[in-house]
Amino acid sequence: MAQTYKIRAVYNTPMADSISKTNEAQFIKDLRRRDPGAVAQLYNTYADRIYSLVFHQVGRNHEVAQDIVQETFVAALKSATKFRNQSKVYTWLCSIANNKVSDFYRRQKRQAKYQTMEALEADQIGDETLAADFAETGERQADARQALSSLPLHYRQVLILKYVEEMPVLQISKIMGRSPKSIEGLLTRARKELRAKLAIPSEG
Amino acid sequence: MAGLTGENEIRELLKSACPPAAPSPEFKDQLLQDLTHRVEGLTRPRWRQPKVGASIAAAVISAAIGYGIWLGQAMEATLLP
Repeated sequence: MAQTYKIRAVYNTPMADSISKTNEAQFIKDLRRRDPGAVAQLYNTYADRIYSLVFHQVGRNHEVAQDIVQETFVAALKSATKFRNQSKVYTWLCSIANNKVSDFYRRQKRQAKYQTMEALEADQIGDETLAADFAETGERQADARQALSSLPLHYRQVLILKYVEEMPVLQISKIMGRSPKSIEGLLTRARKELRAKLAIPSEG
Repeated sequence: MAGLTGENEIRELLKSACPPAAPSPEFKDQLLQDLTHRVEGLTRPRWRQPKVGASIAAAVISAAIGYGIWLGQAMEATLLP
């Protein structure tokens, strides 16, 4: 457990939801050495944010989100020695998480060929979730969630990163491995598609 | 929703549709424990890692058996007239 190690709390800002800039260099150095304290700090600082990001990308499925978060942190741990400080730690983690979500949908697509009954059951679960959503949050949010879930994955990812995570285009481009110009185009198409799904007029 | 035309309205709508979510405390504890074990495995000296350690042990045992056989044969050759 984390208590067995001397976890250095010096990396954190008073807000404790990110690593402060001055301490980031030391933190990255420790992380590259896979210092147990730094790994625990990485996890404690970012696990909730990464979970939330993944959770909305996979249609609010807790089990799938948990699996992907686990894969994300294990992959981060394995590649920690290669982290070269060219991006922020959170950007690096988001990029791994985004790739893991894409891998999940690729695997699902392959498996879909062999699924018959399971797909039907999944649809039923989806309907129940939607009904619960409706009762819980009202029509507007339920409509938005349904529209978001029905978008292609890269549209969903770019919209969540831009409007929920409030990231600048440059940071999104690093996460998604595309040029900023390509992200701008993707955002335009994603917004258009979202409006169409919600049956609302386009921007002028 | 007819007024949803600007970027701010999309932001507002998506933010309300995607509020922060958190994993269960049990899952968080379990994953932290798992990561801690993995770190221990990864930071251990190479020769102390299970696969490497087993290979070294197998090599040492094989060498000892080989040496025993060779020694037996050598002794036999020395004792025979």
